[in-house]
Amino acid sequence: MDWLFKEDDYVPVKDNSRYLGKNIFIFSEIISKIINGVNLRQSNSILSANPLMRFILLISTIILLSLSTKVTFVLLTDVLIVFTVLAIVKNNHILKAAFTFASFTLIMLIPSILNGNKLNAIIIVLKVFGDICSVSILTSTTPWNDIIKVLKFFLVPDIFIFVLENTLRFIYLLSNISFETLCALKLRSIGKNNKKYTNMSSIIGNMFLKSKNMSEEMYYAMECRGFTGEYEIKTRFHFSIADLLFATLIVVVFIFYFTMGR
Amino acid sequence: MIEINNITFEYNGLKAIDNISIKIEKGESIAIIGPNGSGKSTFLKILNALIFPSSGDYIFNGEKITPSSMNNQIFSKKFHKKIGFVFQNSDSQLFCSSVYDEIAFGPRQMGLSEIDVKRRCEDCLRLLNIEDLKDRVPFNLSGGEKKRVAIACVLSSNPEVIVLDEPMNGLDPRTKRFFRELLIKLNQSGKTVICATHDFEYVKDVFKRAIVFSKNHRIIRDDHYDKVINDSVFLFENNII
Ligand SMILES: Nc1ncnc2c1ncn2[C@@H]1O[C@H](COP(=O)(O)OP(=O)(O)OP(=O)(O)O)[C@@H](O)[C@H]1O
Ligand SMILES: [Mg+2]
Repeated sequence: MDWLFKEDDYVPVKDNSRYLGKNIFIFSEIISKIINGVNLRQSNSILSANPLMRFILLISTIILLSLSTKVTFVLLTDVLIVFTVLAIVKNNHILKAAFTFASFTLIMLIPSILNGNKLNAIIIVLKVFGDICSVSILTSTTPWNDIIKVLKFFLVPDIFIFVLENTLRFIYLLSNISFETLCALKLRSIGKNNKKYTNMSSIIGNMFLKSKNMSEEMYYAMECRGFTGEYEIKTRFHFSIADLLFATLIVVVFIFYFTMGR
Repeated sequence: MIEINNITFEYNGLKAIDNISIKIEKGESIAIIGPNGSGKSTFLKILNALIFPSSGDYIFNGEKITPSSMNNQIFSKKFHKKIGFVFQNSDSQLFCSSVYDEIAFGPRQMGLSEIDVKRRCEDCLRLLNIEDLKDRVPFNLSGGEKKRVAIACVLSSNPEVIVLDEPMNGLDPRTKRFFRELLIKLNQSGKTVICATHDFEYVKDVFKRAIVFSKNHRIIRDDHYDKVINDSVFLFENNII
């Protein structure tokens, strides 16, 4: 027992454990995205509005953008979307991401541009930009749970939505747990580890066992509360000023399309 | 030993710690007290360099702890060797396939001979009274048993600072008393003990100093433990009792 009561004189040796730092980094990125997706609702009042409108806006811009062959329409819609992003999201990494993807598209289209297909290339790049922006508007302003609930308007059965929602919840819970486990592994990796991959695989194994336990427990809890296989989702969306705004945007996009997009 | 200057931490813009400064000397025993959501766990995670403050400095043994200094493996391993963390949720802390391996994980990494490793493990198993669990799989132990294992595997690598996040949660009274004795013993042997807790009855005489977090994530009091605990008006006003 004496060892516990005196200090170790310990100097770690070099060991190749970058993999841990990397794993933890990737994980924390993913988790912060998931958490962001779940926690969004509290952050902004405009965004607490009805996601259905944003969803329709997304679908209609994507469809109209892909239908149109007129550069003016595509350009105008892009400008409109960029303004919307700037107005409601207030972070520019959406625009950055869209720019990145658009530039990649541009690079890929260089051969076709050299062959004289300039206008088409520009239209395609603009379309990619607009599509990515409008998808980002939805995903970065709407918690995932709400996006799933939008499916209800499209007459998807409630039980299916329930399953999706719980999948999401489990992804969240399990990723949190495995993140913590990775952190624990990192904290206790204080020297040379000759069995890295064994450790990794036993973490993954434990994850499966835990997820089995968790889902079993949830099933018991549901049974205790009288779950009979029927599940009804009450939507609590109501129409607000923000929805009016999105509705106007939808109308404007359609007007653009019918006046100059065809 | 530990010096914290004006640290702020945010989770996606949500403040969890707001501009706190603390100095902790070697051999102290400190209780971190505060209502739910006041930032205790977050603070302990910063102490263990799991997350890094968005502003302010954390200095451990005279060396700044930053993401880039933790990128140096030797440095980060030395740091983690010196400070052990018992998670709030011991479930996620256990990842090996048997309790013995779990406890042997730290000592083995330190390159100790298998005889020394065995000695340490057996001492830890005895100290936490879990000799019977030696060959069990950690994940289907009971909550209290898991906690004991988690503490054993932190102790086995003999850290100088032991950080515990609500170690008494969900334990039976006897185990709580047992942990109280253990914490006192560890502190007397010269270890620095930092512990977030809500269980005031069972930690009598463990701590000398209390740091109180308020619900708006600041430190509102840093004083002798007994003084804070006996100031029931203060504790009541700050939603602690
Ligand atoms: N991963 C996270 N993402 C976003 N917010 C978080 C995260 N973890 C904690 N928080 C928030 O940070 C704040 C501080 O949380 P913390 O866990 O440090 O509280 P605590 O004092 O340990 O509470 P408890 O007594 O319940 O354990 C809380 O408001 C919490 O909602
Ligand atoms: Mg906590």
